[in-house]
Amino acid sequence: MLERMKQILRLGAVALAIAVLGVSCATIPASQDQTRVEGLLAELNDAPVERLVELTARPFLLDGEIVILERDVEMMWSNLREAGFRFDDVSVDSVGPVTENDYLEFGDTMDVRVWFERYTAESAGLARVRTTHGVFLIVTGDTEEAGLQIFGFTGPRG
Amino acid sequence: MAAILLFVGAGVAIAQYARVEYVDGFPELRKAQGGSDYIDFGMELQSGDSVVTGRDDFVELSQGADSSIRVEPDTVFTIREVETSTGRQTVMSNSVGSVSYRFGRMTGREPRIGTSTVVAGVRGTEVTVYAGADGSAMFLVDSGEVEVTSAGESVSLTEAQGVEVPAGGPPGEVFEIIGRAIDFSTWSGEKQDEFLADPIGSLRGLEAQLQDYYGELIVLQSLYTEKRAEYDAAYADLEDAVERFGRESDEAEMIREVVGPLGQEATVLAFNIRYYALTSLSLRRYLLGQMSVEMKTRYILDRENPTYTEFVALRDSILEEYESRITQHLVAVDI
Repeated sequence: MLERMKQILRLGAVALAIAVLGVSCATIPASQDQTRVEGLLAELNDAPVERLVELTARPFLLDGEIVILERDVEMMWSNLREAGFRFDDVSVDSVGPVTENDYLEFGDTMDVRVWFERYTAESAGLARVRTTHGVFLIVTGDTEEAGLQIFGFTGPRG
Repeated sequence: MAAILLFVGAGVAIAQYARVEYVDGFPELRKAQGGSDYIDFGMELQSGDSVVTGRDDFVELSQGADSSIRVEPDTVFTIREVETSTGRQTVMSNSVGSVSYRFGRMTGREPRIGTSTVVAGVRGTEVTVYAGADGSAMFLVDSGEVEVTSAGESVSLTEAQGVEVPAGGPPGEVFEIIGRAIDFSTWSGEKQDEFLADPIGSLRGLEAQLQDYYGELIVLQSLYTEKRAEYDAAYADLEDAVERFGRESDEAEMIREVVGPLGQEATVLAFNIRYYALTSLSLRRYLLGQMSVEMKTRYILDRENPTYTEFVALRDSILEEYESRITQHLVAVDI
């Protein structure tokens, strides 16, 4: 009887652990999940430009500039490729939700403030990423229609 | 100002300025009231709305029975209104890309067409307007008449004539279209090359154009402040008269006859302040913004390059002035 009770308790503990793990996984949006963000950056390094346009939300924010046109997003990635730029040797210093004053890291302007208020995804994430070219701040978002996308970035710093 | 702007906004929301007749691809409608949507057949565009086309998109709009507007790929086309000495006028412009207009018999006030940097008057016209990445514009007239004014100088175009206008500068020489192979893609590529050859020069052109808009805004703002003070004083007199002599009294009625026109004049001024603020925003977003992205991404691994540092210094000073002069006239839905 005692053995049976122990078995039930063990099963219960396992079930609880699975449930807790499941809940914690479910509560971290892809846009704030370090592994998913690293995966996105790896794809941004290697995918063809047409794919990069798909992985880029619009309006996009580059430093303090709001990029609306598909043509300009394509130009942005093409130029970065031609310049030989990659998010090389990425190490994520931090990743989490976008908070109220994060916009100031991109610029203290009406454009930037309103972009953060209106155009980031509900579960937007902000990652501070160290690369061989310096530190970048990367805004990510995960939407039903497009999946995980890059919404904006600023850098390099340092 | 806010109350008057709300009044203007309500008036604008009722009027419709163009109807979507044909759509190819997935062009976007950026609404005057904020938000965006995919464009579909039969949609009605209102003042302040913008059509944004992608690489494979195309939109044809109609105005009344015999006027049509073709919005080509990679274009931002906007309809706005401005008050002139002869009344309210529709201004249709493309900040970037290419738009062709065919206006039939004009039954009312003729619209104005152009780009973020130059506007032209038209008369019974078929005309195409190109807007380049460096802020320059080109007008190509198939039929009718077009008068292009920029930097205080005007040129008249008639059938089969064209003119190019640099940002912030006067129109160039009028040329004959016949015998010249002109297409947007080639022209746009040339403008891009010209920008890359002299980014500071292109930035100076935009700066000159913005200075023109700031000049208009300063005059309008001063007139508005004056008119608003007169309106507020007259309104206070009206309240006083209503209290002393009654709402229906002759005294109150006399003051009402003053208050009404003053309010209308202030509204017109506020309306035009918004027009110049929104035009400046288009220039800042689609020209200055595009230039910034172009330079940043080209020089991302060569940020100490003197061409880039000079560009950034000038760009930042332009943006600082823009922030102080323009954003006070904008609201979040404009962004």
